[in-house]
Amino acid sequence: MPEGARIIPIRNALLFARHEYLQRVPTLSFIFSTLVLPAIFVAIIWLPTVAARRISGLSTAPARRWKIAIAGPDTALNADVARALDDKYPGEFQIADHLAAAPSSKSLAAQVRSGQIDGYVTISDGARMPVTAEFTRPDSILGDGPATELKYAVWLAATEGWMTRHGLPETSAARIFNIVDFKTVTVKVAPSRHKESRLAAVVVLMMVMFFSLLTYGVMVMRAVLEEKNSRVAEVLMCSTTAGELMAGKVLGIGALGVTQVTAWAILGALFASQIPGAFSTIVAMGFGIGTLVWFVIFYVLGYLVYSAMYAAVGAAFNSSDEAQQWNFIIMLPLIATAALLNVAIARPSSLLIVAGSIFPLTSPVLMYARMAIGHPPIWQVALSVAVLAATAYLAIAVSARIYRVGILMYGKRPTVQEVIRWLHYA
Amino acid sequence: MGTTVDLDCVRKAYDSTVAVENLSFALNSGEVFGLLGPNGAGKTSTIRMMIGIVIPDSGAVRIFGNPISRAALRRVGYLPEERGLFRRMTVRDNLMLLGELAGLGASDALRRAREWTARLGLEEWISRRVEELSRGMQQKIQFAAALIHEPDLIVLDEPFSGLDPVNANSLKEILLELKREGRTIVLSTHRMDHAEKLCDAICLVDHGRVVVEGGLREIKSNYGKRFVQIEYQGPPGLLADSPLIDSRNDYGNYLEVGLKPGADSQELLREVSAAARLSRFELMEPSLEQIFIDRVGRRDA
Repeated sequence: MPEGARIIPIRNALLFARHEYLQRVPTLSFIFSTLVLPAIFVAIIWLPTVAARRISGLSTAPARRWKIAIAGPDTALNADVARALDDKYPGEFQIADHLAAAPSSKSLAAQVRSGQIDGYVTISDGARMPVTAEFTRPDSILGDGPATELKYAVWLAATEGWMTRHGLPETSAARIFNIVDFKTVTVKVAPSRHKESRLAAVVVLMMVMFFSLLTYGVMVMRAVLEEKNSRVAEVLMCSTTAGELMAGKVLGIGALGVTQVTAWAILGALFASQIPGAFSTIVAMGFGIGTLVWFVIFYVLGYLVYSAMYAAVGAAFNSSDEAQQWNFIIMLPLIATAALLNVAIARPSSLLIVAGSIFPLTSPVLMYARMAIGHPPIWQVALSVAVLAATAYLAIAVSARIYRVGILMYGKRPTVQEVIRWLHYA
Repeated sequence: MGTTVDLDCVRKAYDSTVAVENLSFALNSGEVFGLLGPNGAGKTSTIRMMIGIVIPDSGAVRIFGNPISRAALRRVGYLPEERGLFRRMTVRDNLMLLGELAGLGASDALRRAREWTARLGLEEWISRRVEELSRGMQQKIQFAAALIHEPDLIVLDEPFSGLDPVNANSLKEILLELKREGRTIVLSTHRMDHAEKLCDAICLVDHGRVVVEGGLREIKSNYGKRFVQIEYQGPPGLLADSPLIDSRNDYGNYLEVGLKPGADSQELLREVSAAARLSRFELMEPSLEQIFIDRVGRRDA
């Protein structure tokens, strides 16, 4: 194996790793992203939920009171609708002008526009079937507003009126409406059989992976670029190999990512311990001890492979501007796995998914997904891990090779063909 | 006294550009060797091949008598032409990391980092980040970084660039001290005055080829007293068409010329005195700068 690609002895690699790690841990941005980011993340998820509850009136806060006008030729029916609303939705409606026999849509619309009322319903004569009703509301109300409630009230009042006119006693109407009592009841499902919810762990893995790569993969790339540009590389080449350098960078900055994820896990556990029943929910989501161990294995290996690729890009170019487009290209396979996740749930044993769970750029997520929802053959799991580890090693060796040649080429942006040619250089 | 570095028929090309062609020279242990040449002559490529950063296309490089190896490179200290430090790290961390990479233990590395910053008068900067230091200070730290592991071979690429005369002088003092300790020093420069004061031997390269190589004293005496300094009053362009000279460096009312091989200095004197009013006519050994201009200029002509 050539000088540049040799990764042992490990001492220098560890020296670099320690240096990269210790240099970055105390920085403000690292502390910020470790502690403040989860808080912001929680807030982003939490706030809209709270806000939505407020708006829809589902929380304990006082419900919204709709101010509605009812108009139409049948004043008795209008009054019945108003009564039904009051009956079924006590406190939610304030009825204005419900006895207006001769509706003037123009004046009502003007009231809606000026904000005096939240809308109005015009109802046809109750004696003629079918009864037609029209709800007019300002477009500033989100969704349908109280349309469902109004529809029910009109239907109830019109039906009762029809029954009374046809000689049925009023009490029978109430009875008819109470024939069916429909309820929804939920049943607990054993977590192991609940594929979709177990996938939460996979989604978390993917998100953590995306985040780590976006932050630390790019950091590896920048560190390599910076070193190359400051010519530190030349000094370092006297006492170390490019392989040690690359391995040190990937491991050191990788350790930074692991530190952060661990800190988040601990924060998450502390947070969950404050909420009764949270742990059982987390376990139901697929986070057992076993899955956590596999999580760490696939996260670390996947991370190594991808950040070694970032190191290679950093080694090949002279500025982060030049390397920019590769940021995205490197992420593409990971984005593809997000799309394949649905297939993985539906057909975990299909050729596509089995191949994807062994191919090193997609395997961290896909193999983990297969393990979360089923029991893939153990040899496939072993193969997947082995391929990942070998790829990580190879990617570091290749990036070392590119780095080794790349530091000798200043100023000129290399073409892909040139980079490939470098791999053949001594 | 053996040789510390041997280059044998070394060639290096980058794509279509030949940086170094058929270059051979040897460095004796304990001497200060100047690698001289104009910009783009191939000095940096040559130096990089000496320390294994660049692998020659053909030819052989040996240091300490053996092909380049990791073990051999640990005995080399290298100062690159441009700044080669971790800018965001403190001076201490830079020196420690580089020392440890060269094989020192952590405590040794720290002790030597302190010693070197004290020696260079930068003690109070040891906890500062490199990027906060001035250019000259960075160059001094770079120098310390190259020497922290007490290398036997010290390779300095343009060590005086960016230094004011005071700092350049203190660096020169340290180099002389290292020379007394018996270390071998290679320095590349285009500053001939520095090279002339420091070097025992030189190799002048141009367009990737050796132009002159050997001990500084021998080179100068081999050149002979071929150079003439003339101070005069008279028309401009004195001796411009003279058949007796092959180089001419005109400073206005002061002229340096090189005699053609075999040309008689007395004949030149007669020619000059016929054309101008002389106040000085002196035969002298060439300065390194004259040799440089003479050899490099002639190749370009």
